[in-house]
Amino acid sequence: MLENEANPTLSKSTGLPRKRFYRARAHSNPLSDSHFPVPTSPCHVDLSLHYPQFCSSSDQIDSSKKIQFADIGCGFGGLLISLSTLFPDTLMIGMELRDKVTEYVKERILALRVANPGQYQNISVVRTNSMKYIPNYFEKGQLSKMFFLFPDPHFKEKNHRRRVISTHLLDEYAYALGVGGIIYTITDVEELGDWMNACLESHPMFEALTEEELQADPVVKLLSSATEEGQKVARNGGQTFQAVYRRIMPAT
Amino acid sequence: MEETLIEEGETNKDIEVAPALLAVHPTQKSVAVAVGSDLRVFDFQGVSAVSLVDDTSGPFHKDSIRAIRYSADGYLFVSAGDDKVVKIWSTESWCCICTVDCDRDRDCDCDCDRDRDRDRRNRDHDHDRDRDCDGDCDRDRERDRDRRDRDRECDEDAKSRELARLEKLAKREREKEKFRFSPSEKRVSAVALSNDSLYVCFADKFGVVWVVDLDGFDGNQMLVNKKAAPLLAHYCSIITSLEFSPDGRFVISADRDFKIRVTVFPKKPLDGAHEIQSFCLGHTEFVSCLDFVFTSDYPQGFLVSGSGDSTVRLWDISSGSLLDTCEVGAKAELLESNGKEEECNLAVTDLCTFRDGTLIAVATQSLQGIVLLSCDLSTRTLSITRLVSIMGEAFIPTSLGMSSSAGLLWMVTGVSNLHGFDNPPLARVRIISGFEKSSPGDPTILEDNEILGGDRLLEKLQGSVSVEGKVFLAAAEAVKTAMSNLLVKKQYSTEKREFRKRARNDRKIKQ
Repeated sequence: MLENEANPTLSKSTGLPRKRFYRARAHSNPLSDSHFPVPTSPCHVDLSLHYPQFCSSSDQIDSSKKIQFADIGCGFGGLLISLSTLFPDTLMIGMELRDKVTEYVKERILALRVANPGQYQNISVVRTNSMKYIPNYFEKGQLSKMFFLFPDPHFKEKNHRRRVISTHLLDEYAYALGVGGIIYTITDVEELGDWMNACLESHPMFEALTEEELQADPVVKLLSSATEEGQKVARNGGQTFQAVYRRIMPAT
Repeated sequence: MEETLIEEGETNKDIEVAPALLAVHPTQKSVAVAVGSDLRVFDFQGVSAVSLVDDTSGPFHKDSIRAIRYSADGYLFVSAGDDKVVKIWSTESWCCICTVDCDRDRDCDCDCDRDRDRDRRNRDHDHDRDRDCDGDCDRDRERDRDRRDRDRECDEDAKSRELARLEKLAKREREKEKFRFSPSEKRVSAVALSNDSLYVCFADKFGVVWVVDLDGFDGNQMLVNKKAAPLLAHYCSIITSLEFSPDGRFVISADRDFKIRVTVFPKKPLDGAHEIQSFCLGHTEFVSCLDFVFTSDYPQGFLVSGSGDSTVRLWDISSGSLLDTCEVGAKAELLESNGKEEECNLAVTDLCTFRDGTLIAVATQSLQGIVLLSCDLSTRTLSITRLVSIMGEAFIPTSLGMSSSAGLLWMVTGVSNLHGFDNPPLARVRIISGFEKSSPGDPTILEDNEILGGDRLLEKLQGSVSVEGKVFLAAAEAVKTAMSNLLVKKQYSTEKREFRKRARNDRKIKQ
């Protein structure tokens, strides 16, 4: 608590970081050359930095402990935090391009770990451009879930290449996802919803989940409720458009 | 964004140069050198210079050629470059059998061509009606006048024109629809032909690899209306090299983001290649060149790559695992440091392997000669065998080619244009002999008079028989600068980055 008084960026009551000290631009150019460090290959990703307790408690850092969920463009991290308690034994990572937002999520996770001992050890965040560096972080078929929640709509046609879901980028996501892995997308922009659905629909390595499967999946409910962006949409009574697809073996 | 790119391109015009390229026919029937927009071919069967025939739309290349390559069977030759045009040549007749235009604006031009035809037809029609038209007035003026004439025409004509306009708009919309996933076409940076010569792949500077099928080509007839379909894409990264695996199952693409991607080449490539076999990650700078080493014992072969981090690496493409790394730059630097003390990273500019052999020739920046590596496929290791330096002449190869049959290594140096020199694009060709499979001799550099084809070959490929040596030192320097401008990521210090953000108004601290 004493520390918190010294640090005005942390809330006095909860010890969590306060958002207003981490204001950032809403958009970031994914095309610009990145200046942040990027691991040369997935084996250069140091898990002990991200999940200290997971790595220290089990001395044998067995190969089975790999990051399985990736929240691409995690924003302020709402989904990660909800998922953390839902899947306490699964390592998950948020990827965010905006540095201040990443800082906020980092602080938020650290504060949550302090406030709830033993919890929130399985989530972490990294600042990176996931459109460029997915293969630097994940091996082939390593992931079982990928999330793309409320991505930038990039309305202009000449900026469509900046959209995080596109036919060509789906090739890379299909590479990172294991067979049976699920890709979750949601947006409040109908045009983008159509676009993402069309891209996934036409991709030979993805198939849509059935209505029953969607009902049975506890994660689907979180898509619109867990994230800050989703809550904002719900507050304003907006509509959301989701597309949930499974990675399949392509028909040969 | 587009505008700024163009602007930069224009301001950098004097430093944006293209290195000279070289390709040798698989059985050394001919050899090709590209310097700037010039494509020069010498035929060994006729022992004569080849004059190219190009009747396709817009003959020859209009800007620097960035990639040339023979097909594996030697019947086809592909050239492509900054003018966004891919030309496919028959090596029998040296006719351009197909021009693939990857510029969308150019596509619009095609539309305009058609419109112009329509105009012309209308004009002829008009012509019949009023004969007093001046016969020798120039075409544009004529058309202007026709337009005026037609403006005076009845409403019906106007209506039909309105319809045509709408139709054209709709067509353009459809065209746009087609390019939705690739809104802007870029300059071509690499080409490759599938091993069965059925498909030509080319990569543009925005990271998209396109594929054109050559289905239906059987001889020398022209192929028309060949459209490229997007095959795969690296996310907005310049693709530096494209290669097919020896068994033809994979297409390998390398980019400036240190990545090498191995993609399964599908049965129907026009639908795109979606299955990624692996990524070969390990380079710490742009990847500049790719090739395969394979022998009859190892038909799958292994991938070798050269990079701006001055290493050559050996990869297993099915898993993407790094097998060995060879610091070529260190060796080259050792040699260079005899002359002058200079700390720099020497990028590997090109490498080529000897088919059915395990020898790899490597060219690096600032090295007057080549480094020979040997690859042991059983232990999967690379080692430096020797360094062949070229004495008596400033010769830093920009591109390599080999002919296994003749046991020759071809080298070229040159540059598309050189600031301060008013020369036509110049190149210099040298040959190292002694790589025969049966009796490997000592690699020796052939003198100009020992070259098969002699002066005639040199005159064709170099532009002139003798070339002033010191020009090429400047040329090598220009190529080096251009390469680092193009491929090395800009590194800004924190202060500099802050300085560049000074105009951003969201950063003004509100107190």
